Amino acid sequence: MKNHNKQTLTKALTMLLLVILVMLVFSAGSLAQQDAANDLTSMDINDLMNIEVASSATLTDTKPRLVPSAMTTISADQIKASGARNLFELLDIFVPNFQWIRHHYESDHMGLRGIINDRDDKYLLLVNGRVMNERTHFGALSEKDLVMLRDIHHVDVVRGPGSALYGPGAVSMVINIVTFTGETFQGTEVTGQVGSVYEFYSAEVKHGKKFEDDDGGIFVYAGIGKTVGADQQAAPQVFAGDFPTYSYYSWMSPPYQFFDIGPDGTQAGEPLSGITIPRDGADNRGLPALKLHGQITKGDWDIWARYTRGGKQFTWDGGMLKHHGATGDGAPSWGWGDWSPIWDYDGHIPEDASFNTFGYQQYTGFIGNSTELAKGLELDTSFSYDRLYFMRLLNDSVIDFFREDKYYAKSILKWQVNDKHKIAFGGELLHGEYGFPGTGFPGGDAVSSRLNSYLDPNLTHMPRWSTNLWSIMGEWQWNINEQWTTFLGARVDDHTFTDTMFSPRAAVVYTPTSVDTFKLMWARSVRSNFEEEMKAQDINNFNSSVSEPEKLDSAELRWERQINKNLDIAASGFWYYNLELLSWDSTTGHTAPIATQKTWGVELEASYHTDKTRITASHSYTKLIDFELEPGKDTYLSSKPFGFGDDLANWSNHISKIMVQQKLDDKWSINGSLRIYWGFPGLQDIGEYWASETDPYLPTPDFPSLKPGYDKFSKGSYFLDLGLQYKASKDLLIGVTGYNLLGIFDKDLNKRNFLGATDFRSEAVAVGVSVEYKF
Amino acid sequence: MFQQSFTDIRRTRKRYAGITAGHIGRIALVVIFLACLPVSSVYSAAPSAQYKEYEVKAAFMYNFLKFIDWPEEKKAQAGSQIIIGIIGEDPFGSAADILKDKKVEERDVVIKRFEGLAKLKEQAESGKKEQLEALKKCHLLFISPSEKKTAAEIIDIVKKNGVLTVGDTAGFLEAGGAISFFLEENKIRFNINLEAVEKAGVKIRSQLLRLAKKVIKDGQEVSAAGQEGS
Repeated sequence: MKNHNKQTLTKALTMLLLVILVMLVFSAGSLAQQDAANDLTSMDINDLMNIEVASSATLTDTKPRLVPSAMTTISADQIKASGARNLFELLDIFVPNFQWIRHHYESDHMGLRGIINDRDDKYLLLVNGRVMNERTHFGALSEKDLVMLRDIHHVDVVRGPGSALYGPGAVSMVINIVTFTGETFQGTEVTGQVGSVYEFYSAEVKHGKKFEDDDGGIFVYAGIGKTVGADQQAAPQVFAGDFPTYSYYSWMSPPYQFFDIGPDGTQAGEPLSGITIPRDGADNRGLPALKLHGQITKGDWDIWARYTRGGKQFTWDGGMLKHHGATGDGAPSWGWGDWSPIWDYDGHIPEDASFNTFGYQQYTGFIGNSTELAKGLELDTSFSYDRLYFMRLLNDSVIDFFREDKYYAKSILKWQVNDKHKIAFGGELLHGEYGFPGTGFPGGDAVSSRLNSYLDPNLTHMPRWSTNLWSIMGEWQWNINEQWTTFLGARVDDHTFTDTMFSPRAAVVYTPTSVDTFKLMWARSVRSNFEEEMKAQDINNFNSSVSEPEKLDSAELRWERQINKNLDIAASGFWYYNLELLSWDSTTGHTAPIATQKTWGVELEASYHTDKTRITASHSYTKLIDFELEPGKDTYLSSKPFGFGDDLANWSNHISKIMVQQKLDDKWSINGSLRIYWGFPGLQDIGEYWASETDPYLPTPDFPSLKPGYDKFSKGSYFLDLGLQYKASKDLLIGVTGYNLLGIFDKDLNKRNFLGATDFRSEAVAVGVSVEYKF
Repeated sequence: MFQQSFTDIRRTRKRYAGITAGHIGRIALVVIFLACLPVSSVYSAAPSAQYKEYEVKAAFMYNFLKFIDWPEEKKAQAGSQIIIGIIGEDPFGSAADILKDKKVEERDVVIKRFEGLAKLKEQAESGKKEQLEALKKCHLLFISPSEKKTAAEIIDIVKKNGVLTVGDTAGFLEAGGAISFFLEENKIRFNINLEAVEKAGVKIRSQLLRLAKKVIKDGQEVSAAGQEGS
């Protein structure tokens, strides 16, 4: 009976959200003419003055309405209003069917449309169109954790596969951060932020100036941030199994002897107690995050340089809690009691103590030129270089410590043949050099745990190697008539360690009326494995291996309708009918082809915007169709192959998001965002599968057991932020944001799950204040 | 025994994990609060779509036409058409397509593209003066960035012909242009040179003057309000 009530209420809440969306659509729709033209000429000058000019997701130039992809753009105003404390939070608020999840051993992860992994190499992260992904080990690593976001003019998220356009790695999405330039920002602005409970501080300054001849400008930015994070009272970690009252003298084999332990007796679903755990979100070794950016645009030239430093500590899994440290009599203890109080003090530990963390530094230089060779013929060329340092420590051991250098050269020729045909064609070369020693802490030779384990467990040196990725790409856009436009594009990539990778894309855009647009898109996206895995396989196979790439074949139908000049709605249905997965296989210790995954889903979006109000809302549903696991392989992505359920393990099938910004008057504005992950049925399934494979009364190193009947970890997560902004003068803006406010009632509502684990850690209820002054 | 327990859990647990009734009520209140935040439909639009720069500029020019009064002889000259000219290398491309089939005060908007001034002068020297003369028939003439160096000369050619000159290059107003576009935080803005407008013999209505970032007269910035009715 009680269950029935819960289900009824949950459905009622779902209906409430849907009703709000429908009301938005129809109430606003009735206020304006139904046939408002979806073109700019229907807008008055006031409207036009509010339009931001942005890029589009095609090689050839096209009208925004015809862009063959689902795309979300987040403006600088929206970033400011949201109070987002990093890119994870920002995208979680605004991007439909986007999910953010924790990990015990790596940086947090971003995923889209059910595609999420133990590395973030299934999507590309770009700054000003330049790929910033780390390639040796992790993927999209830099930028995401930084608390400083005021250098960003806007963020474009291309939702869905995009290899044909952006290259290997653009499987689930492409995130493009576009910075301010001297042409888009003039003057000097300083911003300071401070957060309580989830403790953080940041200071940013930016300056932009146009050149006197008005042909370009200069922009410089510097930001520093420190995140101490939230303690375990504010951000509790909750396990799915009971901790025993006593530890074992030898937990691996009987006979057991009992000793008092730290988190003794903590029951499933209770906040972990009796032991101090790392503060949530604390910086890598307490090092402040840094970001520097300088950019000059002049005529056809665009030149910029960027430096970022970041990194975070990990929250331990059950195994880490259990294994480490030793009491005087040689018995195992729970946690590192000798230094854990330091976490309480300021969220980080001295450099000579044990801990789990990752950190990075990235230096990037870019020079680009866009030249009109003849009428209708344009050549875009760019060269860039980046040097990226990465370090990761687990259990006080150096797991990864290296540097990689990458050189990019790219050239695209765009030709507008006539009114109907546009062609783009180009090539790209990425030369990467890997295995250089890192810099700073912990020092010493380059280390890669993956490579060392392949070569020789006793080997401390990471080998040096280099690879090339040659690419050619092209796109043909055919505007058949007023109603029909087609896009046909393809990209061919050849990596040193792979066969040729082919990613074609075809799209048809149909505009039957002035307000309706239908887009039918088919694409294949690819990605190669990460470099250290491919190198390890290559060494293991005596320099003769060919690494299998990941491949996603997908189809998507999208409908966009402009109800009136204030309201847009859109619906996408996607069918990922063949995803040949590269993922972690614990039976072999490889990241390798393990399975073929099939999913489908729908996304509903509405956007209402006036000069005083902006509302964006979305609901998405993603469902696993099939997961065919290769014989002898293991996975944490779904337990369907093991006969437990039929869902993705690390994904909430239903996700709803709403963001509201409202100007009250010239000085005051308020905003609020609500994100709902409605539940993780696949996580419950895999938790039960794991529990069935192990002794349910013992936490295991990787997966603390599931107590029979326990399901809190697979329930929904609910995040509510509310903010207030006060424009004290034309130059001074003060903002206050309350984060994760539902946690006031129950911290479990703010839970954020870990990838491949049944424990969770709640996001802290917190408050942040920002002050912005423009000179 | 344990296997039996897990089987039972799977059988009985809810596929769609719920939360407690108290939570639902609180969340519902919050959702209702968010939904009830004042939503006004009377304000003007601020769309967030990604538009190309010259598409937006084309729409601006279309709007300008609604706020300009041309001399009577100009109206008679063009008959049922309003002509937008683009001189030099056309930066609009297909972006100007949005003006196809548009009308202003029952007159058809027509786009005419002209080659650069050097080419037009060559033609004129060889006796083909039609294009150079056609320039003067435009109601609004956009002078492309490729004509930056010849902008002053072009403006001189069309002056006193009721042609509103528009550009987006640095120093355009100083060269005698009437309206100049520029970008501010990636949004299109424009300045107006009132002296040039008056010299061209056209009148700009006060609504448009008020929307300009700067209104300049005799090299000095003046208040738009003070120029109403110009």
